[in-house]
Amino acid sequence: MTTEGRRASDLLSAARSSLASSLGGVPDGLHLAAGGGHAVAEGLVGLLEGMWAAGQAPPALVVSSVDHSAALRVARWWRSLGHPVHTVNVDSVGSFDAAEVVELALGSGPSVVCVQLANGEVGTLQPAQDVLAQLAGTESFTLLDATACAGRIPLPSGWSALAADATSWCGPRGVGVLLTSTSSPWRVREPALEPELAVAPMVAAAAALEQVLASREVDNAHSFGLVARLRRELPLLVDDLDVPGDPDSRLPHVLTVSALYADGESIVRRLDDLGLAVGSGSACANDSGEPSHVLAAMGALTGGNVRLVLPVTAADPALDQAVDQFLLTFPDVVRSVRTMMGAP
Amino acid sequence: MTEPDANPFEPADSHFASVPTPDVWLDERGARCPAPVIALARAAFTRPAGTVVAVMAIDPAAGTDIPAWCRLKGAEYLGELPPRDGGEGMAYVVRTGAAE
Repeated sequence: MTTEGRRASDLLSAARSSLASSLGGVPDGLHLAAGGGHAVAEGLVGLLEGMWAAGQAPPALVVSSVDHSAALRVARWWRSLGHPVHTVNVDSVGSFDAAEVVELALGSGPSVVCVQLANGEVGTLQPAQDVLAQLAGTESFTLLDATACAGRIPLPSGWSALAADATSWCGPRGVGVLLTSTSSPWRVREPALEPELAVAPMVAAAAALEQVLASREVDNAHSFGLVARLRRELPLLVDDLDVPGDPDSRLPHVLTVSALYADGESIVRRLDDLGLAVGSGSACANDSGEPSHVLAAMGALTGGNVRLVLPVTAADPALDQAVDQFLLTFPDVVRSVRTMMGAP
Repeated sequence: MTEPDANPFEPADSHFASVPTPDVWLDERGARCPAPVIALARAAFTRPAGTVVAVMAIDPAAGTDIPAWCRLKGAEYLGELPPRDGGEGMAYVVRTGAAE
């Protein structure tokens, strides 16, 4: 090996160790994926196939109606093979009931359970820790989906596999991480999961995670207050606004709002023209043309939807000004889109 | 609005229908989100509270956004009527609340 090659290999190995330990795992259990959705899918499929290989019958899969779309795709595939799949519904803030998940899992015999830690669209925190604790030592193995929040909030232990995405800690796009525990039945699929990842994004992802963890408490208190302010003030500035998700038990940095009589695509485009980058769960703003399955499962308004995911202060020192600007511009943007739409 | 006999969502026998007979039918099958909800709001605001309005729509967002509109505006969501001819779309039936 050349000196340069050895240096790249050392950097990669240090980045892998750092990522694994920051996320509460060991380097041997670290598998890289092309993104969070890829990590979720490979985690679930590897658990299902690993358990089936070790046992007699195919295991059941338990998911919730607000799980990552990649998890719901695995559920559709598993069902299409004729294997058991159970879907847990959520309440109006998007939270599932831990007791219901545990009962379904234990009643299914050997099973794989997808456990969301927090919902990335509406920010609602899930009772993931309860589910992991109650399923420990049973025939149910868990994938903890932390793709929306790894780095930003503490991760519970006790999972068989954990899926994360570097974008949740303001790292580079296209870096997904799957961690498996030493006792996990997860097994690697053929062909092997790991994409050819360049050294630079891996090193950047590991460094960004260390940095976010170092200032997490201060950042979270700050973001939580900014989102609380938006949740409080936006409905006073804009009529007919739906602010879904749990107002208190939520991620500090995620906000979603839906405006009646407006389309998400137009709102997102106008905010974008003003330099404010936002996402949307509205059908018209998605490639799929389908409304957000999360908002639909909660009974929330899907039209006119805008999602804000606040970065950490280190990634955007002008966070407060961006929130001020949003409060200033969003009401005008909604008004102009409603006028264009012929709203009543 | 559509002629009753050209309306594939009108139950064949209203006596056995799962929802009350609509007073008003709105044909929004050619419209995209949020037009069906806007049409519903316009119809609701110009009629007395308690009017039963059916919105025919194909846009997938209507299935979630019409019940959500009911929750936000104090109306009652009564249910859906599928097309009897197996065609596209759904009729979403609403009892309006107090006019605004």
